[in-house]
Amino acid sequence: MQLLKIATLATGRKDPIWSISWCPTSAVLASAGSDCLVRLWAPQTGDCTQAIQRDDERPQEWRCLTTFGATLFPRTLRCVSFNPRLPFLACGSFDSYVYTLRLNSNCEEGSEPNLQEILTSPPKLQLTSTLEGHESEIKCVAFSSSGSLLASCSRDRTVWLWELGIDKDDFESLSILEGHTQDVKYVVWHPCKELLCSCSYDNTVRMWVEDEYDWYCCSVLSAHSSTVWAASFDKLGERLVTVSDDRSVIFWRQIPRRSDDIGRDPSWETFCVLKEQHERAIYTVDWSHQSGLVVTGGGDDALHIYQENPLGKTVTLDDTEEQLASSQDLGDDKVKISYHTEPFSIVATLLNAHEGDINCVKWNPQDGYIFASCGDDGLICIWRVTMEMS
Amino acid sequence: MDNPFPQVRLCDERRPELPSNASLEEKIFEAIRDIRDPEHPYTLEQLSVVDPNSIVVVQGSKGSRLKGLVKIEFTPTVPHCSLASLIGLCIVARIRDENLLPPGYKLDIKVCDNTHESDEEITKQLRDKERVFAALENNKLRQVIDDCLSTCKPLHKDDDVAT
Repeated sequence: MQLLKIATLATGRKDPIWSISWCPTSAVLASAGSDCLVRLWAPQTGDCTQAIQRDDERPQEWRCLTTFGATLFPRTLRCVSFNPRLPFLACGSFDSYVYTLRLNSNCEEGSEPNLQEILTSPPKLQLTSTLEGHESEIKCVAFSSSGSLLASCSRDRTVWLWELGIDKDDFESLSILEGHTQDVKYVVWHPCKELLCSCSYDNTVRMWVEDEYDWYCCSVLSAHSSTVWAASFDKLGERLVTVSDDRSVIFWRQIPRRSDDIGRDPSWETFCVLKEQHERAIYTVDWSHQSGLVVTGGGDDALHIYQENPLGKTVTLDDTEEQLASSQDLGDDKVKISYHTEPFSIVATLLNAHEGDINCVKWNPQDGYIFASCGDDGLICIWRVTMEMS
Repeated sequence: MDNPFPQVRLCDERRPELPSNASLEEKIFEAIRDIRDPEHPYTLEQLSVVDPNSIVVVQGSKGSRLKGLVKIEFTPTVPHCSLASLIGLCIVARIRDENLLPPGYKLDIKVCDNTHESDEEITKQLRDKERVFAALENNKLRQVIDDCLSTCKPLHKDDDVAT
């Protein structure tokens, strides 16, 4: 596989871009960074309410649809996230606040416009609420799949859950999840259940669920030896991939429940540990729910793509007996070596993808072969994974 | 004060300007040697927190993806120095302010092994780009850092016009 850059989006500034988020239904990308602004981007030509043309490999021109936040946000915006159902975004700032921004159409008044309608005219962002609670820098915000729960995490070691109010304009504090012993770096929701995953400077990953209005930690995943920077669920939420300052990419799966385990929370085990992947810390990972590909980006300015190997690809000696027998004297003993292939392996690498650390990668929600990346160089790049061998 | 009577090394105040062909190691040492210690009226060089050997530059080596890596190790004056992370931040801030890293170069800053009772902890903090970025953006902290950097001499720039 090969990575093809189809667009470069420049803010015109050198400030790092920390986070990007795709609009769930169209080719619109939101970005946030140290220039304390939220930007919306879309392809220059064509209808941005449509998905990106699948087979079009020509470079595209993208434009900035709107820039929001001048003089509004005093500190770096560390993360931005589209609500999967409703026309608004949340962003988290180093100033310790979570902000929610509504997408308004320029031409419509009154009725509740849907996202498609909004994006057919240049959208306008409007600050709808400022969520106060965290004591220090927000690191990440994430919406649940229903769009009605918002999680935020911070250097204050807590995760806060916020629930969408009835008027759909404000969030109310629902619960404070305590358990991590250091900064919480990342939060991500299960793709369909109300199960939250958090990653921390304390080297662990925690899973949180609700039981009769009470949220608690149901599982602690310990396999990394340094800060866990990010995590991503697969399409069904049965598996998870995590990346870390320890430069490893670890795949986890739920341990299948036995019949006497009913009522217990499933625990998680590693099933594929890939060490020394990037040359520096790995800051970001995303698992496409469309193609099943996994992309990672790190402090070595490089991008990696991982793919699952076909099931049962365990090469045993029997398979290769002929080749081996011809080259070696195996003696009388039946040599029992099985050459196990890791369940996931790297299928594409791109060095110098950015001129600086890569802070965030996100697959396009419609096309599992297109993703965006952003970095300390102040650039956002859109990439296509092609099948041709280089 | 963690160390009321630090050992002070005599340093030549009137040293000549660095030649324009100085190595990156020399340029970085020149930039950080005069940073003032947060709790003493002495510089990091006078207190032997840094010396010319504290800085190692690895140019893009074979088998490495990086164009280059600058490694700086510093030695807190006492093993229980509570301001060790602040010293590290001052060094990072100085290098960023002066834009001393060539494009594509990375910076690794660490507390010398076994010179501080929590050296690994502080090194982990200083390796955390997010924490460092947030700290340098924090106005109050930035004032303290700028105060420590106020003793630094302006650096000779290659493109300066000689007057």
